[in-house]
Amino acid sequence: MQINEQLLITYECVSSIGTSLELKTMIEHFLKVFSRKTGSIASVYWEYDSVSRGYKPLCYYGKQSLQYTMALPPQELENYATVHDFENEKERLYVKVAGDWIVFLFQSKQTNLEFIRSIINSFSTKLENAINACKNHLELVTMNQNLETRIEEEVEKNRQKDKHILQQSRMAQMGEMISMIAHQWRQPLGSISAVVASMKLKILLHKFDLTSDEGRDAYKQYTQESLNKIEEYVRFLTNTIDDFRNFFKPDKHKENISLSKLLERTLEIIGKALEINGITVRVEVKSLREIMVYANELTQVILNVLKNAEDVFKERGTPQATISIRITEENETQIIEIEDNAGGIPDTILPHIFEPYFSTKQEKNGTGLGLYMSKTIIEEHCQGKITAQNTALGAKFTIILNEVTQ
Amino acid sequence: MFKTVTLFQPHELSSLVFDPEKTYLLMLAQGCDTRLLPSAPESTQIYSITTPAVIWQTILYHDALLCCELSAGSQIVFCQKEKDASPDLLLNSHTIMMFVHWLDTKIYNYLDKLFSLTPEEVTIMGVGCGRTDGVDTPIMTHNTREISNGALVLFSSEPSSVGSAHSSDFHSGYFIAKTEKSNHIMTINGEEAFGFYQKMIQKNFNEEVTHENIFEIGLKYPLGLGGINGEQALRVPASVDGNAIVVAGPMDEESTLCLMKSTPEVLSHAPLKACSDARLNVDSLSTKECFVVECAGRHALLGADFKQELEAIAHSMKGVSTMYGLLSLGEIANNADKYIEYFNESCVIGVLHANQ
Repeated sequence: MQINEQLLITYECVSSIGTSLELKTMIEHFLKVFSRKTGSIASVYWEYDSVSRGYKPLCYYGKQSLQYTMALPPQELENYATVHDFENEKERLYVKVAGDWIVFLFQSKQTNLEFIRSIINSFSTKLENAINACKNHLELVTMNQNLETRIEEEVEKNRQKDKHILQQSRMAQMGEMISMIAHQWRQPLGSISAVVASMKLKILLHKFDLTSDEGRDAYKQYTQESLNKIEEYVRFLTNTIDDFRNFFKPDKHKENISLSKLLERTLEIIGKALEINGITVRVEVKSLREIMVYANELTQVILNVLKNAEDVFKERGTPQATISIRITEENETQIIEIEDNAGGIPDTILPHIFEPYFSTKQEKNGTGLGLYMSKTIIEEHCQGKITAQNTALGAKFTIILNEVTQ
Repeated sequence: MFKTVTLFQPHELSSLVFDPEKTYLLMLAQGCDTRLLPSAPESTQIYSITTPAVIWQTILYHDALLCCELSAGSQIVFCQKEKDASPDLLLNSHTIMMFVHWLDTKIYNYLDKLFSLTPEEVTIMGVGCGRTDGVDTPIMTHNTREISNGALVLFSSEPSSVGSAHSSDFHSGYFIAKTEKSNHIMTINGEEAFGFYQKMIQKNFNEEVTHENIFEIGLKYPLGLGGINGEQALRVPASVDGNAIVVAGPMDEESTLCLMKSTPEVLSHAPLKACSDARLNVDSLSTKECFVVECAGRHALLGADFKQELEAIAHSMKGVSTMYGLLSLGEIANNADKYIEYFNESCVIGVLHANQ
């Protein structure tokens, strides 16, 4: 009969183990079932706290009036112990499981502690495993929570960094734009100045006989032509300003435009500067299909690549400097390739050119943000791809835009 | 516990007089016609519980009531939440009598809470209340208002003693049972519970179990729950719900069961053991009264011999001022040193302080 009793109590206790991954819930259920089956009148679970290096009660079951008597076992005890309380006619059973202690209290006169101990022995490994599973689960949950917090912090840091980079990039672009405007304006301003100087000189030297009808007519015609020229130059200056203003518009919106048209707009901005520096631009357009893109942002990218090429040409003094631009289409993608003949990018540098703050132009006010921003624009805003590689003549940048994701 | 306990038979019901400012517990036999009761003053507190029958001396009454006036040191509380009974009341009580609806699914919760919150030196006894005649009337009331989903608990500062026994014999087992809703055994050893029980009874006792006779068969062949200390708790199969067996008492979700066998011969040993246990801590019976809780199942099994059982109890408790009690559908007993259990087919004997 006792073997049967032992088996059935063991079975019911084993069934109560591992019912939850929350240690307190699992232990509460176990203590409840164990107490009901064995007649324990009180039980407590002391959990080891590695931080304070001491034990703290996790849960208590049974007579609350006996809670004060359910202390930890004396320190010299190892894994099991039974202690007889003569004064109160009680028996205490101490069991160490997974580094923690469970204390059970029984009435002396009717308890066979050795029998109960043998029952606990038969499922102690399972109980230990279940407790460890709960502790590991808690550790994992805590780690996950910490990880989530750290990820959130890092994401926020990156967000702030990006904002900062964007701000720096804008400032750098402003500088480049002003420089480009200066390039664009130098020639027409010079022309205006020349026309004005010519007019002043002719007036000073009395080149026109204002006393005769012929002289007055010639003066009138000359003045008219000069003013027309000035007007033409001023219109050019105004267009330049419009181009840059459009480019810097803060409200980004998508536009249905062909890449060739976009390239045309870009060359209107930088073309003059390239021409002045003796750089030939060859354009080959094999696709006129329109695509929905953030036109200003894409212009900024092309401009950036062209400006880099211009800088390298100037630095290396490349003879017959040429930039070849090719616009093609392939399935649902449109591709723009910009290749120069400046000798290429050193292999040690090539893998890093899209990283932020990476610049080979430190001494020439390079911010190291141009290509990083270009990559951000193409990949994050346009869901496209930008790559760089060396060719036989120089460097080639390829921008691939997917029509579907635009 | 009680200042007075008086039996009222049907023809005496109209003569019952309730004093204002007093508190009464009426133990009603299920056949008692409460419409015959006179109205009570508004200030009187009347609680009632219904069971299949009440016991007065050695006679069983199916249509009478026991009118119990609470003594000065006693208080009755309907507990639904832990805080319903004040800590003072819990800590200063020496005897607690608990009444629950026999099919209440939270009986184990009430027992756990009661055991946890009471001091060590308390004697707890209790009754599973209900009817066996299928009549739909309130089982527990307070001033004629039905009270449910809780336990009616009587606290007394007077000491008492209790003993319990069932005397069923172990037959075979053990089996693994899965339970839902506290008292619905869904499967036994992985098979549908009712089918399994049918097979077991057919194989071992050559009797057929049907939806109609399961309670009758269940009384003879109850299911036993395992445990090391004290009396083994039984669960009597009371009815069938689909393929599940509904038992008269709560069970854990996963339990081990054995098949027990109750015969009139072995049943007769129970009262003597219960009386003997109850008298262990009692010096003299002259200032005491005997409170008897007999399972209705024992009455059904013993039939005409039940009268002899009551006489045996009276003989064993000779000297008490009064003997009264009831037929129950579940019994609770705990003599300070055990965990409280809810029994079936048991005989519980309480030795209470006599105030009358």
